[in-house]
Amino acid sequence: MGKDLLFEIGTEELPPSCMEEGVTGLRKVLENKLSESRLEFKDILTYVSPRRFVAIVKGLGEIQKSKEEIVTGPPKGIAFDKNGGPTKAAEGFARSLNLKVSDLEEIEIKGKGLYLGKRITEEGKKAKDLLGDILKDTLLSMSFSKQMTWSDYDIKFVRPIRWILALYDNEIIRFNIINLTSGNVTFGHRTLSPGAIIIKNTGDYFKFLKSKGAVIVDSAKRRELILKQISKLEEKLWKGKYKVVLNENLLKDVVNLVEIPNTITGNFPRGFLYMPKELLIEAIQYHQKYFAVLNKSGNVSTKFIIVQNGIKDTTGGVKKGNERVLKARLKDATFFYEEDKKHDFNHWTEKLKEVIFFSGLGSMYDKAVRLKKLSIYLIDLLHGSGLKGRQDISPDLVSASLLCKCDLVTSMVVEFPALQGIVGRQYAKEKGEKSAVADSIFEHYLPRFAGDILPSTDIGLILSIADRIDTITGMFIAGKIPSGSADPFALRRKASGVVLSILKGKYDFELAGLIGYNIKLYLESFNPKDTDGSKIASEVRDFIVARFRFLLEKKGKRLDILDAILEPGCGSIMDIDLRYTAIEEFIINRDIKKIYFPVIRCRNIIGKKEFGEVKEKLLVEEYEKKLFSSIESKKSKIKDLVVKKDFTSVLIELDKLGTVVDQFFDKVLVMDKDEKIKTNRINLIKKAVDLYMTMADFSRLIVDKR
Amino acid sequence: MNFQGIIFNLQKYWAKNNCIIKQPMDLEKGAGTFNPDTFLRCLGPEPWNVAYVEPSRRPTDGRYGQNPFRTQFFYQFQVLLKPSPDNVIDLYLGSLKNLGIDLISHDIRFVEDDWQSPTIGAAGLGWEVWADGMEVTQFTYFQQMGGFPLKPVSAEITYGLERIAMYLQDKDSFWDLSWSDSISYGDLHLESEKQWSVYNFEVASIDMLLDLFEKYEKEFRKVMKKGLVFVGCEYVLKCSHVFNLLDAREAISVAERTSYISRVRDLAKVLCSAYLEQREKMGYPLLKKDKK
Repeated sequence: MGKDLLFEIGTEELPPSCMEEGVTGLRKVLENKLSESRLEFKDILTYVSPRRFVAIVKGLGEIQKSKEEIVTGPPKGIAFDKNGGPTKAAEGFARSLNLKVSDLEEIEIKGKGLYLGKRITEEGKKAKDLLGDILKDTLLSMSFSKQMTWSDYDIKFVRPIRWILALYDNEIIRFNIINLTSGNVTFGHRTLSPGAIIIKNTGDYFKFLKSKGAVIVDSAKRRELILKQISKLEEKLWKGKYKVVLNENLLKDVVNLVEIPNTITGNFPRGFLYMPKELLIEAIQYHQKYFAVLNKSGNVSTKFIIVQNGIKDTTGGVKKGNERVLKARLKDATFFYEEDKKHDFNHWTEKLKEVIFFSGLGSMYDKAVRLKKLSIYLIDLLHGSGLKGRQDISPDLVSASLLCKCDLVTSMVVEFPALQGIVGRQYAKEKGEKSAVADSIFEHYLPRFAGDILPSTDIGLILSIADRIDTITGMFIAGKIPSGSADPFALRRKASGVVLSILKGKYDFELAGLIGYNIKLYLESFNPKDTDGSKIASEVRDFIVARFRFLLEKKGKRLDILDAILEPGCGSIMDIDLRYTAIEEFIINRDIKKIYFPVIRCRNIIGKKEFGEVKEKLLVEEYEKKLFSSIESKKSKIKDLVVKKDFTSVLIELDKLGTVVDQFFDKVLVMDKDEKIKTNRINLIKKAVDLYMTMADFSRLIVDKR
Repeated sequence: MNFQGIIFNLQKYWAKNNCIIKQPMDLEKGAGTFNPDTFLRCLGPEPWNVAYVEPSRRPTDGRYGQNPFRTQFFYQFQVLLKPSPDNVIDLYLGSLKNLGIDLISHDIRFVEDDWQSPTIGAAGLGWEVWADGMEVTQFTYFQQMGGFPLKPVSAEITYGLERIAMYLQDKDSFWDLSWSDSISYGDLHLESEKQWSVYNFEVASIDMLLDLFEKYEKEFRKVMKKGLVFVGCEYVLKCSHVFNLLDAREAISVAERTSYISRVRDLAKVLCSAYLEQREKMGYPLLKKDKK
């Protein structure tokens, strides 16, 4: 069933950064267009290499699905007269369809009855007649974050389009875009195979491009090949004495910079090895996209790996040329390193004053000073909890917060931005700072991306939290709040970082306090117009809690539990997390219904009334007295348990309370004739609800009602 | 092929491919892009195909002659093709072949490098072209100049002549390149490179430069009032170069930097807008020529 469709958009060299975006877009758009056109298919596979986006639609049906449309006219009662003859209305309707009344039928419309109407079936067209428009639309609908125009054409794409191949099994699907007509011609490797390659059948595509065109279209295969060549080097040639540093981001880039990869080993002079390891590795990787190679003791060796866009370095010229380039690059890196050596942290701190953090919100130096204050504030907040009994880290934290942004103005980081934090740590060590301080300069940038490592020390964690909250708060003050997919300052990622660091440090503090203090610090120094501090504070808090929610959702956790906890207004990430874990475990190991249903019963009764105190003397029945005393005795106990964060025990207490609540409802009539007694009972139920609410709003849980 | 031979070769090649061959502009500038033959001619609908050598200055790139290929002075070979032809990359590769570069045994790579020159409100998308890892050319499709979107789009091909020469002559340093059979690049430029590095980083009078910037800016406004677009263009370039010198002297704080850049950009914008207006008034003479 069905045949394959091959669609290749031939371009000039694509930026690696847009390739993922391109194939994802291509698949999505094509899928929509095919479905809209009622064409059935098994699967869409997409590929990308430096000069092409490719989609292969597997098992694409040859005929469009037919479409049945029902056109209805007047209701039966109006369409025919008493004698069963057609009325004017029926005749008019038939005329509008160019039909006779006798051609029409009675059609039942759900809930409305019988109508005069007609089922019109549109027969499916041949796929090959539709595909030209579909592919053209697909291409024109692809969009990229960075687009360009070229020559005098009215089209935007990521790079100029130079050919289009569109083949349905063995038939060309013709369409025109700008100066191009689609055909069955593709092009291989730019220099190794400059001529046109004709593809007569979709099944020949990959084979011909590889054999005639010297192109491996599938990036997964190119990646595999690079890794295979590297591991062959390591095992066969180097016999395990050297190891290639496989930086994942670099590898991704390199895979997408070549149409066919060939790895070559080069060497650079020993003289550069004196550079600190991480700086040297980055200098090897950054501009030229080479892989660094470590020796057995883990130090950088003079070897490096070039991945050539080709099959073989026939004359040795590629190796020689790249060696020359790396030598000059390293020379430049040592120049910057030596320049930096002439300066110290005082110099850099001064320079920080000139680096704008954000327009209207002062310099990076101002930020560093805020970080110092925020960190100390946070330490004070944590004295009762996360840091209790640990060594006083305040002095180190103060030093680290003032030093942590300094490397932004060093020559090394200006030249190699990815080294921020790493250079700071290195220079701090070289200048004799304590290692705890030096390490936290690096750690405060963690996590740098989703799935990255987190800071390992309290100083690193606290600084990381303070830095991120400060940036988020600042951006909210400046009105740069992320919306939709637009998050140019990566605030969502920063908020995730805050959450993860809090959880790692087990820091229990109300976000609102720290954020409020942060806003105060901003407003003291800068006076942005119309800043509503308390509004921003709650927006920032909600923003961070929303990221916590997102992280839980990603892990497949239950959002109803989170909502139940958030409802009473909980604002400490750690506290929320502990409650979450306790409730989740309780649901798995015990029966949450014994908490849930009593809560629902209580809630159903009390509604949104005004409440007062419970008057003990008005309690007459045994089970209301019992409920009262049970609430009274549990109240202080639960309060203690909440303070101790022993939420499992809280749940056990509430579970026991459930029995008493149930007995109360079973034995006592709340709606007593005596208004006073009735009110008193409602107040009593409210007390029970309040007690439940110290843990969570259980009525928000999704519970199997059986 | 020696250095001057490369220039002859490229000139011949691009002349054969419908470019007029112009000579450099007699003014300091950071790149061939600043030459009005690119800066202004890329604006508006008129076709324009040109090639020229451009001596270029980037004060902050000086290394006192210590780095084998980072210098504050160097030569560019600039080609501007407007509108960009469909076979522009093949044309470019043809020029490399014509220089004697064997494309099959070398690794020629187009690596994404989107180009921006905030001082003249210019932006383009394209690549740096690597030959065995060495950046030998900057290849850009201009999208915007002076803040104005461009249509048609020009392709700008900027060869780094020294780098190409290193490659062709198999030399490790600019200074070892042969300019002619008897004279080396170092003979011609090493001493001046050292002196200019000293001047740019250590000696240039900051007060004078700050003062010049103000004066050039003022002069620009004056000449533009008279509609002297080509004169105005030179004052924009002078401002830009003075700014680069101040930058090398670290005389401009980061905050001030932004404001200087935006001042030059404002001039560029006024200039480009005036040029566009003038060409329109003239009825786009080169458009008519093209039609004939």
